[in-house]
Amino acid sequence: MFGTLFAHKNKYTFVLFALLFLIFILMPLLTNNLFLLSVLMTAYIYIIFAMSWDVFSGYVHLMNFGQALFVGLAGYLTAFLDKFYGVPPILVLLSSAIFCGLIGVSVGFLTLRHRGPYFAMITIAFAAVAHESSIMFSKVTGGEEGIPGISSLTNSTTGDYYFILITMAIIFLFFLWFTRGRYGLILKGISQNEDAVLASGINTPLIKTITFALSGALCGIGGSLYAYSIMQVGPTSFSQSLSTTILIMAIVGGMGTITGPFVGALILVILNEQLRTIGEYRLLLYTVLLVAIIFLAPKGIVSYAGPLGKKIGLLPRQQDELSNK
Amino acid sequence: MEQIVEIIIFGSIKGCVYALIAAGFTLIFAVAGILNLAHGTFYMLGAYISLFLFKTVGIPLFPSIFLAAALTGGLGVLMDFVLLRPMRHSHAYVLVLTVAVAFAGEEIILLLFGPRGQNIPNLIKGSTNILGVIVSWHQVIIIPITLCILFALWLVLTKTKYGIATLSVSMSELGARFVGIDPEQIFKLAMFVSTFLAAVAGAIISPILSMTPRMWEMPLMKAFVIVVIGGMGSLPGSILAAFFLGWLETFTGFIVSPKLTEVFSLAMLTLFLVFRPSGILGRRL
Repeated sequence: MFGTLFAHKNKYTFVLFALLFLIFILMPLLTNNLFLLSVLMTAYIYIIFAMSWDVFSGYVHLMNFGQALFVGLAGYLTAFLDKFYGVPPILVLLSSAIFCGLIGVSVGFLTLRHRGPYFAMITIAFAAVAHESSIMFSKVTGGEEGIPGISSLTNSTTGDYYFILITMAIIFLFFLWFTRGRYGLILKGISQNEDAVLASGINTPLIKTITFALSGALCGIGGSLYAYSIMQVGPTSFSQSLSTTILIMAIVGGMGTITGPFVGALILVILNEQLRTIGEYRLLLYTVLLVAIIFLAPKGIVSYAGPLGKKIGLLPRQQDELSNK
Repeated sequence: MEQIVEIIIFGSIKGCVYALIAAGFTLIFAVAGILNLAHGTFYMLGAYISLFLFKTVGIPLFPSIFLAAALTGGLGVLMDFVLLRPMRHSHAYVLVLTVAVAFAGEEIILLLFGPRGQNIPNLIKGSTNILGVIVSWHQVIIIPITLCILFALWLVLTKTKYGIATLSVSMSELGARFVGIDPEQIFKLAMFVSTFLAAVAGAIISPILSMTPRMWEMPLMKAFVIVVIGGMGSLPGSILAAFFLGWLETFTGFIVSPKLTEVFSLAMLTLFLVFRPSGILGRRL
């Protein structure tokens, strides 16, 4: 059943991802290394971020440079709900999703009418406003320090691990379902020629707004998990460098594929932990990698070595480069 | 009364620096359609390279600023040639690549100069008293330097062959091709001028604001605010908006609260982007 969600009924991808998830599921049984588990948890959270970025920007090709807006909003919401009202995690995740979805609808409604680079500028601006405000209104947000002391998701690391893994898997399957069907086709169409899609009777501003809200809502879930996993939230979760990291992960993996950002985020987070010694300069490494990928394999890692990528079907049908936008 | 003079003077100084930053940012957007998110990086490079030339190489301050600006201009052309030229048709790629350059630039400066804040000395020492307000000479001479540069830019753009070619490319690239102008050359020229202006701005402000590897964010956000208020691609609009923003920020800083200036200008940006994205002097979308 899930096989069809991957590219053109290709069994290989399904098998590949099924194996990957099997390894993920078995990981806590195979190892007692808590560090490894925490790295994987971080990776899953970043996978959620990168996939939710991809579902909008990767498909529509309107660059969102402020994905951290949703991460930060969800993080602060989590901190408030958890610390001051003691709301259980599941409800917090739900309310984060609804809240970020609503923010996504309003931002999308206001801005998606404009074409060209305006959207990118607006996303940068909104994230910057949120970043500044989170430092400014220190009475509510704790200023630079943020809000520490968020409780953990469950009582054990293994519990946290499975909680995050399951959430990530559900979001992954949802995104696959969403983009491999009619909506994915419409979004690709918008990226190619919006007027043509409009002319075939599809309300493209509506579709774009819905997709943007969806991207925000699911990124909000990721943002909540992020706040839970590091047990605090601060202005850095609104930062431009987080937005850029998410964007780089998705592009390195392969935009407009969902599987690409999955692979990209996984590889980059693990790479980042391996290269902890140069931690401070990881963005430099990322950017070099990004430029290399853009020039050598513009469709991302999942398209690597064309025929292989096509054969195992990591790419959806009608994969194409970024075109005029 | 004194406060009004203070706001006018400090606002004008701020406005001058903003005008230099925004003029370059809007020029390259108008001519080549490049929204250069690495513009702040060139501002930073201008400051750091002039520090390097002044301190390590030992060139006098004034020439080292302009030499640094010219070198930065060269780097800008190099970035355009290596990274952006193959992808220029796509806004998405240009944005992604320039943001990558911006972050890489920050890390490289961090690697070379360290995270500590640094300053280059004032161009002219001492201070003066204008209508009861004490202003350092360095801040005062920022105004004539900026006005000279902007006047020179206006002369180049309207009176010389290259300037007229630049304006024609900004109006229509295809049309310019028809009359025998090579847009690639013009893009290079515009990129040079754009990054040159940013570098000068970075170098002349760094005696006042100390330079850190994160200093590129401020001018980028300001350039954003200014070009959006002034109208994307409109050079006079940007310069007007730069002074407007300079005064407005100084006003907010003096009268309301210095903490609010950042949020205030970002809020202006958001309002303009949402309700009037063409700005005050731009063409309507």
